[in-house]
Amino acid sequence: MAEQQDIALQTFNELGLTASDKVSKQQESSFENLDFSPQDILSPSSIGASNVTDGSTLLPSVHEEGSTLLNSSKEKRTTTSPKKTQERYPTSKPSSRSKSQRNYQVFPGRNRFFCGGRVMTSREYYAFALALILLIAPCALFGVFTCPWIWFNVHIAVPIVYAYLFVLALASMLRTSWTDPGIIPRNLDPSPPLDDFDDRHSFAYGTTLDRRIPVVKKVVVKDHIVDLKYCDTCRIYRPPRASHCRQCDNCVENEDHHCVWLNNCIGRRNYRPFFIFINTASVLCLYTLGFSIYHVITLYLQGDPERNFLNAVQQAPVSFALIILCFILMWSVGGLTGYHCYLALSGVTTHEQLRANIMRDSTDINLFSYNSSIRNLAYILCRPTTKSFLRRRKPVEVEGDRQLRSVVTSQE
Amino acid sequence: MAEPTEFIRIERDYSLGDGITKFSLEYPQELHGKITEEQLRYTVMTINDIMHNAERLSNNVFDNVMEILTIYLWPMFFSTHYQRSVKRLMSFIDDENKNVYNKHGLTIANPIKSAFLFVSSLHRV
Repeated sequence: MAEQQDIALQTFNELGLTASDKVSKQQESSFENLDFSPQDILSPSSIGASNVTDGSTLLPSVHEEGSTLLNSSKEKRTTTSPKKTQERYPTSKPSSRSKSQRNYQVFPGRNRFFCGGRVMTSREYYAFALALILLIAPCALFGVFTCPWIWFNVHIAVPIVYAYLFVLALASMLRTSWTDPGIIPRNLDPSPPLDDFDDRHSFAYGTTLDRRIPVVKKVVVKDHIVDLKYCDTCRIYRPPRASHCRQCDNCVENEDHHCVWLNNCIGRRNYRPFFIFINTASVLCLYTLGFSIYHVITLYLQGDPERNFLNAVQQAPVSFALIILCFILMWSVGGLTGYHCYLALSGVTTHEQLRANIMRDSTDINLFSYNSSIRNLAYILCRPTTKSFLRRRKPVEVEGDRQLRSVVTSQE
Repeated sequence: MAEPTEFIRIERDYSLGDGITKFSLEYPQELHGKITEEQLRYTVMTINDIMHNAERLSNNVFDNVMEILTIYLWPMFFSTHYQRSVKRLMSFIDDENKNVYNKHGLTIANPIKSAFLFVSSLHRV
């Protein structure tokens, strides 16, 4: 019965009736081109167990089904998963059906999607490529040139730990760069209450422009009143700590910053991999630096017949180059790591810290953090990874002709 | 002949701070006559409890530590506590819809679609 309800919903949209709401996941295909006849939808092969046998009598029976289902649709609003409805509609005539799009294909932000929507990142690739090279190249050089010496002369555990840290850093980097940072879906508040804005300039220009801006919503957070601004691009009231990223053109929950090197925003869902990445990268840097120095110094001390630094360097040129490279890299990566450790212990995001620096006002900065540093750090590292709200691979839903009569909130 | 629909929204309660998903227990007057205050209170409180359990740090530490130690392979094979809790939330909302809300022409919308910013019930006028 649910399948017939699905079909009836699809024909409702065609006939101008609508019974769609935000809940129904049963509408599978988008109706961008409605130039296929109902018979294509209601072809017996796509129904399965149907009581419609003859195509010519489809239209009247649709009306009957439609009217009865309109009344009974209130009770039958079960949320079936889109996958199940896809299985019930085997596309016997794919050319006549409109191609159903997935949400990631119509995503309005400035993100790019790969692997069918599973991988998402922002637009600038060159810095990401450079960062990838800066991670892989020194580690590869270390692994190829210095590690054999360390394997035989120091201990076999050293290269193994190094390999593990390298894989962890690389995986964290890719995970930070290629996952959804916590983007808030758009159009959740399409018609906010507007405020009368007395624009004096409108008198100067002799126009009567009605410049009304949305009201600022006030919420109570731990006994303080916090203003929630309305984001015009995303058409939502931004929750506390969320921020609209200009590079990605999205509102991101708990946005820390937009990282150009990783080509993604760092937000609620990928802060932990980011933190792990910068920590393991700086550990790798120090590791490489330490063992390269050890390599060169040991060769120098083993100098035979006399100790000559230049000889030692000539025996291990790559290690020496690595010393210089890692020494330079250490300051930037290590500095960033230290800064983020400080931020994590204070329980603030980069945006909040920078805003406090500019405003010279630290009264609100600790509003969202706990009183102890350890608890802040534990919260940052142990909080759960929330589900992505984007629903990238789900089919696009058609809202239909829905007249929103009113949105009534309980806090007015 | 478009069918008008009305959304009744239960807003998010941020009073305990960020990172804690909680919804306001205020009773919107539009539900008067359809859903009693106790029923709404029960629904919202159960949603709050499920989300509170989902976000407790002590329940999530193990999943996160294993995820890092196994270099992000762990979540591919095992579901996390948070995912299980959200599934529980979805089935609870389904049950509530079937048992209580659909009889009055209301449906609780999927809160994931609204990014947990509010819980909305759809009312067909």
